[in-house]
Amino acid sequence: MSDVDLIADLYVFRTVDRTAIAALVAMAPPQTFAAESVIFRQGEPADRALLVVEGRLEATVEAGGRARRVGEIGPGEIVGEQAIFHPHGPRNAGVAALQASRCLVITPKLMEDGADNDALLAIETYLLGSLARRIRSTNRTMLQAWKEAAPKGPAATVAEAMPTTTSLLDSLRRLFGG
Amino acid sequence: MLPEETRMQAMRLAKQYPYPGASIDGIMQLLDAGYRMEFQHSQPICTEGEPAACMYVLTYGKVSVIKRDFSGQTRRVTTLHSPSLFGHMSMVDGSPRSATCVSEGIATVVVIDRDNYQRLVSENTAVGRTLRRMLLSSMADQLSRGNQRLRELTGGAGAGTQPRTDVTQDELTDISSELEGWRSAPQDDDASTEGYTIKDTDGPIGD
Repeated sequence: MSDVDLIADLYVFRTVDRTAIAALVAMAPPQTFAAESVIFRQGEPADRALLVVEGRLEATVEAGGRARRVGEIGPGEIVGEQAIFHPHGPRNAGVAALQASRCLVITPKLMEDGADNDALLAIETYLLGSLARRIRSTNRTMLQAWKEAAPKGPAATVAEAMPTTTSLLDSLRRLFGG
Repeated sequence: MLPEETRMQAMRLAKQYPYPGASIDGIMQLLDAGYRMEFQHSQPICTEGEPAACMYVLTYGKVSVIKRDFSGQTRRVTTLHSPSLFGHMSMVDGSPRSATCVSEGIATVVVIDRDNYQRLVSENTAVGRTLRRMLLSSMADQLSRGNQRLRELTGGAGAGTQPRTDVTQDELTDISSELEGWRSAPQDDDASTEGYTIKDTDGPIGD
């Protein structure tokens, strides 16, 4: 299958005309990453995001000398979008290819040069939903950590229902690493 | 709003919410797409828990953000300064208002109602692109700051970062507020447009 065929099959681009996808591919031909290759290193300046066209990537966060796997990114998903809106900031996570993968490389320059492209509009729409879900999910997880750490049983006062610092930190570490 | 005033607001918003392809004209069109409302001191603008019918661009004045914390107590989490976007998370995902906003002194907002939001956000036009990219810039910043503060709390912020030995519910409420976009906007001097060129076809104000 051609890159245009592969991209046109992705859910993100379900409403996008093939002409727009072909124009996007012409502006930013997808890149191939070999299996097990390191694509982004945590802490390095961010300059591009990737939309997985084919294959599978893995994101890891390193802390205290150990790496923790935080997610897999498959076809139609985007990783590293901070680079588009806040370029030059440090990468929050490392990303490697779990298998040979083909990805669209999205840079701030592409967003400027292809501003009118419908495929980029589709990417922006996808990102709005994806960021909102992640923000809400992180907030829910924090609330869950708070509840898990609170003393069980009826509490006479609000103060008695407060989680202790240690138990709350333990819950947060389980959920967010560290 | 007078065109010069709109242009001034657009330039300040472009600094506050940098995005690729930023255009002053696009932001001016966005401000013109909404309608203007003025709130007197202590007047509620939106209420926590209620369904949302619009998003706001604070163009003048200050707004207090009041929110229930993790134990259900109500407290002021921040003050928004103009120019700021607020109330947009509810537009993006249809969730109820996550905080109550009250004007501090006289405050002026541009209201973008749901119908207008839904039309603009799906349009392949300069104003549609401006809305999407300003929202994405704001939300990417929200998520990044919130996650960074969580990592600092849990000792997962990377080499050289000391894990915290204590955490309070106030800090968690602050992080939660930051994730939802309730944070005090940095003043213009601190805003950065690094990495982007802002298109201002008509030249700067005062020329």
